[in-house]
Amino acid sequence: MDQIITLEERKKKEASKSKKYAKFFKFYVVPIISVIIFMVSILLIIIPKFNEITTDTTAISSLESERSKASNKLGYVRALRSNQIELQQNLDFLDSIAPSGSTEVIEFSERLSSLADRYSLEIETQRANDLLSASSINQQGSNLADTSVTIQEIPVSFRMSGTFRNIDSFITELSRLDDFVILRDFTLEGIEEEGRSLWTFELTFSKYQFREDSIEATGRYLKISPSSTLDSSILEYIDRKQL
Amino acid sequence: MATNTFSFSEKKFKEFNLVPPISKEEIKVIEKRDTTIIYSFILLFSAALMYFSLSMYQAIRVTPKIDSLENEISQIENEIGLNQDVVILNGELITKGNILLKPILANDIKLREIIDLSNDIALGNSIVDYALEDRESLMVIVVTLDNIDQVIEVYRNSLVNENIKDVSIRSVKFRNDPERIDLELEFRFNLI
Repeated sequence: MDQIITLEERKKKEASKSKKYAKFFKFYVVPIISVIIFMVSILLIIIPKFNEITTDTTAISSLESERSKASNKLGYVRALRSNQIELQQNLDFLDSIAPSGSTEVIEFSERLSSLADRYSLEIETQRANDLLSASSINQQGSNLADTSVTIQEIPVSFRMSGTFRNIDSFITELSRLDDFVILRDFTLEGIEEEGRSLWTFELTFSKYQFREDSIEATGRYLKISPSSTLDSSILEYIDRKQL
Repeated sequence: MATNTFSFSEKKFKEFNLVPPISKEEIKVIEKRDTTIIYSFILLFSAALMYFSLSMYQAIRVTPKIDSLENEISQIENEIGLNQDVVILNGELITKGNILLKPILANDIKLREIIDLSNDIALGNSIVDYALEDRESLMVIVVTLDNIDQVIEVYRNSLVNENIKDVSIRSVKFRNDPERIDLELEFRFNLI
């Protein structure tokens, strides 16, 4: 009988103990674990996900701005396409001013000599001076940093003599030539010789040649924004000359 | 003789409780009603819900938008790439134009214009010397005149000519045989 009582008591004790554990589990373990899991998931999953979305949103605004720029660029490119003929004409004109061929200066000097012959002018001296370096021209002109497209200036000097009328006609013909030259200096001086007036004419002009490394130059041309336009003074010059 | 004593216990005074003790039955009811587990699960569920919501938002709104923008940009760039030839043409035109601009085009003065301009200034008197000084566009002419009045006349005429500027007399020389005056006049062009 005593043993039965002891067994029941033990069972009761165990039941109360397990109830105690269950209570402990219910009131402490489960809430603490769930709070920990919640915090961990906030820190390791939700915040990174939120950051990912924020980054994506930033990427969207940067992509939108990129799209807007690309659309603008496309608009300019389309405008260029529609003006392609005019652009090509302007470029052809500039190329005619400073051709890429290396024999242009010699050919022009020959044309000048035959013109002097036609007007009975005696050529006393004729010389092509040293090339001015492309970089020095660039420094004077465009301040271009790279040398993929440069221009060479080739000065040529003439000294000739004849009557004023012939020299005047020569000058008129010279102005009619298509070649683009820049007059650097000239002297036209009259001398009385044996009762007749003889004039000496000294002339230095410069002819220009473009030099371009085609591969590097193409890269350079591509870098120029399609929204860029030719300087208005050059456009005016081209318009004036093409009239 | 009876003595009246009063003992004060600080401990007892502090333990004084106004709330009536809860019976064991009441505690059982409270424990039964406790919702800690429910709230714990709600907490976990809310974390899962947040993650799910963010993922759905990313999947439905953000990612398709990025894909669509990238697609649009790639199409635009593709079209720009197809028109690369005209971009190169424009670049070449601008590069060459800028190179030519200052040192060259600004100095494009024709010899014929200079001679004609000088003759206009000389008012029909004979010019015995024309000289263009190097790269400065500074023109010097020597005009032969008959008398000093003509010097003033030529100088005045040069001042009103719109195609020249910075006019000044360099020298006036008298010659005896034949009696003449050489006027040396310098000016710059205003032709561009």
